[in-house]
Amino acid sequence: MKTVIRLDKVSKSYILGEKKITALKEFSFEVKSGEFVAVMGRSGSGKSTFLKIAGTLEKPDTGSVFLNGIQINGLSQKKICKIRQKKIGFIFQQYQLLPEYTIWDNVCMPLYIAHTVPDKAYIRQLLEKVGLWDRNGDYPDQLSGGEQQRVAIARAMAAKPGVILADEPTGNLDYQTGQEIMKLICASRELYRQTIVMVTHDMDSANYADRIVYMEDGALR
Amino acid sequence: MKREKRHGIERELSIKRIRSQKKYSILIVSVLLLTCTLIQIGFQMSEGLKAAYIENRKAVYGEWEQVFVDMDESSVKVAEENPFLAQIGKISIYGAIAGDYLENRQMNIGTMDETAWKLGRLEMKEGRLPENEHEIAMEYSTLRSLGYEEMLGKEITLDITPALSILEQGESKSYSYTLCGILKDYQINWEICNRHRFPTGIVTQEGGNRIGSVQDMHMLVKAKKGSDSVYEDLKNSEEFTCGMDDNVEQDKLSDVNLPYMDFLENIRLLIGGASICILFLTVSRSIISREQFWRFLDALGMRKRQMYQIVFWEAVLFGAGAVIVGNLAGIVIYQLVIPAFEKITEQTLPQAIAWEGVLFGTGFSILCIGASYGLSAVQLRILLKEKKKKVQKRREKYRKIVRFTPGRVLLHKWQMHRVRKSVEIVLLASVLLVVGFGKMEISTRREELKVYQRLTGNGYYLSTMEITNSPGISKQTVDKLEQVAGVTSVEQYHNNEKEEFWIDLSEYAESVYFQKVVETLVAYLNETSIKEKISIEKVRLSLLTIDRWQDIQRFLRNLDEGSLTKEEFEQGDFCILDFTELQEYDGKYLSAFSPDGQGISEDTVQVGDELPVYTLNEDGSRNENPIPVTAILRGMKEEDVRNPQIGGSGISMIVGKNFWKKFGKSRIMEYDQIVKILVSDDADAFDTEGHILSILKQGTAVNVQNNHEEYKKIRQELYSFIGMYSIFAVFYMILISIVLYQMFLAEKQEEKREWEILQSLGMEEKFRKKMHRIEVLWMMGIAGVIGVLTLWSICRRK
Repeated sequence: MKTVIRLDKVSKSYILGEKKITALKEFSFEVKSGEFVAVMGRSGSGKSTFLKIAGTLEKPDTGSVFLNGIQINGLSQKKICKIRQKKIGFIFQQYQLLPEYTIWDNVCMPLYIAHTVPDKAYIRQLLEKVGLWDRNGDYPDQLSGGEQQRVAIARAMAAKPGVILADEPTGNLDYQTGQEIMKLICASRELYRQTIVMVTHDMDSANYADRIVYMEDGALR
Repeated sequence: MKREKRHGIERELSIKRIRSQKKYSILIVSVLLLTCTLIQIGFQMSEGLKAAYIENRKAVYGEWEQVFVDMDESSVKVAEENPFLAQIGKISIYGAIAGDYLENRQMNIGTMDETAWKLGRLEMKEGRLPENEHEIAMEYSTLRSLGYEEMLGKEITLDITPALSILEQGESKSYSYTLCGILKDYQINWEICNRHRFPTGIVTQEGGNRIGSVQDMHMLVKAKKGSDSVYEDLKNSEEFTCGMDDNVEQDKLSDVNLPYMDFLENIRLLIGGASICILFLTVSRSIISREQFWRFLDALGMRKRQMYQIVFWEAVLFGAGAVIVGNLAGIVIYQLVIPAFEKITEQTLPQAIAWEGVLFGTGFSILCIGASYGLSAVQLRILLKEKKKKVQKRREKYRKIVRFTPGRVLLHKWQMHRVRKSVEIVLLASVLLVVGFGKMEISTRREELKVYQRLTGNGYYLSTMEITNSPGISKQTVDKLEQVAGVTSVEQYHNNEKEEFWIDLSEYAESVYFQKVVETLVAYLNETSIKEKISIEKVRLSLLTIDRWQDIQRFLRNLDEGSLTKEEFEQGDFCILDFTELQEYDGKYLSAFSPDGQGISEDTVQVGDELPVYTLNEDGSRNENPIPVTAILRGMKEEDVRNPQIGGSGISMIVGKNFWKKFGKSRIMEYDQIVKILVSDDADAFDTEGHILSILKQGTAVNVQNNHEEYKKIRQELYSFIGMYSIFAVFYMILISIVLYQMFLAEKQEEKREWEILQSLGMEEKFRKKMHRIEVLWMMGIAGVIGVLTLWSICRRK
């Protein structure tokens, strides 16, 4: 199977006050196409940093990142943005919806940003799939946590990306809702043949993945 | 059982909130403190200025409330029998020594009782009041005018007219008195002694009887406290037939009379308004951010009234401290800056705390805090009750995005935060307004001062009065005036305001310049009811004669053709023509200073030409004389704009003394005499004026027009405005900066969070930067337009 994400000896550290924190230490990792990988580990183990680097939101200090065989390091900002627009969909723990825009606009936002005319039928299908078509004119603050996360999932699917990066998508939800969200993610994966990398603390959510990896001190355990 | 505390959970929650939100608390307290301090300073300033104004008025006009003037016997009786008048001071006038009764300029001799003396706040400079019929006490400036300032204890002779006006009956007699005392100058010299009936020479009743009977009787009065209506009652009384001059009412006009009072009041309102906006924004923002907290309290069963109480307690806890500390700081700062402020306003300000100011300042501060928190409570109500419906309704309008461009996204953002954006723009516009208004006002006042200085100048304008047998102002007198300390220049002129001279220009009928002059004169006459036939053969002539060689220099410096030697000037046989360029104003052509030389000029008349000038005899025949042109001024220079200027409607000439002789007008009073005296800005104008008056001696019937007072007023207004404006502008900028900084900081945080989302969705940094640039441009642009339009409308209203 084709490798979709490859991190090769990636290191990343942050300066926190006067202290240097190493988030990733010569971290190497691969995700194959269509694979659903759950990344687990304690807080501060480097899971989120890995996801941000894999998602091109942050640059590594050293090492290389490849997405669909293309090395991300050294690409222009414009190209990186294009990759983010077309190839990657993000799902965050805090939903990260824009409160000033309707559900519809929030879902269409990646397409708007890419200056692509939204495929209305597809967006409708997405919203129906997450069970929020009848709420498409509402605003995020009018929805519950679970509903907001479902909007975030729909948004992540909107540009039909090959990769979905999810950062604790069920972290803010109760067990029942969390399970529903996970089922939704799996269904979408089936439907759109996507590669999913999910960072989580929750074993129940991780169990939906094909592979579970554990991180500790910025490296795979 | 332990009694429940009076202020329960609501106050506790407020305190907790204040303690936990240090930044928020510091901001609110800073704004509140600054507001209260500024407001209190403003009130202390205005109250201090009012008190200074009233005190100045009292020093000049005395403490009386009303003066009953020209009293007859019945009026005296009514006044004396009125039980509500606490103090009555009597003044009797027996005669006049100089001045003009009708023009409120007269030196009187009379008696004054002790009450009038006290109510008038008069003081002795030296000596004492008269005790017998041969003694007199006189005001110092009057003595100086008469040349008797060194005569204390000696006999002086006064020419006294036993009538109200020396113009009424020219008969005056000499009376000798021993000068027993010298009174301190009445503050505004002649004005006061006639307007308010203080005699400049005080004698005993017997001393007055030597002159004749009482010519005029006045009373200075003050009513008992709380009986203000007494004056109204007296006015309505049929037996009370004398005139009444008001003094106490003038105190109430301090708001109107002090030009910076308007500014102070406006700036106070501006600060109050700004602080309400700022506090409302900050507090309501904090309330909205606590939505979860309110909902949680709601879920716990807390009533809305209790929630309002939490907001109320916050206002009380912040407000109480800020009002006390802020107002105290305002008082202290004001006390510290009094010396500087005295310099700015040129007023002696009272050191005492203006309690009225404290009261108003505190009240106004409380009002501002109350208003802002009240509005914030309304915000809480909206949040708890009607938010969803309203917001939903508003949001419906902006449902779908049509195009995703930086401008479009920004517009959407602005629509969603319209109140916040409006306030930001208004605050920015207010900064522009404050700066623009100040700059505009300062330039206008500067220009006014400059124009006044150029056209009138800081000084005095002497002109001969229309009185027979007046010797006028001699050259020697003018030379003496030039020596007075503080005088920078003296110029002497004569003009023909009372005589009509004409010129026949038919020989130059082709000249466009003359055609326009005639056209303009005809247009002016058409606007009036004067039936005068004006044509090219009959053009009005304005004449100016200059006696002294040095006074003509400023014209000679700018001659375009011809010249004038000192010998020719002394002989008095010359004529300098003024052909100042004509400028069009509303279809009329007037001679005016034209810096760019764009006006209509005259070039047909040449030096050496003889111009037919004439006066008209009673039978309409001409009394004509050919006047040879010695020199020509073809363009007015800026220095010539200064009065007295040649020019005006018609043709203007500067002529020598022989001109008048040619027309048989040899006596000085047949043409007006004008002396312009300019004094330096640093001169002690009061001394200078006294000196000038003493040189002139009022008996020569010369009108003294005091331009210095007006000049001083304009200058003081300018400096006061600059001083006060600077103080308030700086404070206002600090206030606005705090708020805008806070608002922009909060917005930046929001943007940061939003940017993180958009970045993860693939938005480029370029897009965000572009959006940011557009936002700055829009905000500045809209604020600029609002500021400029408001300024423009203020200018138009002015």
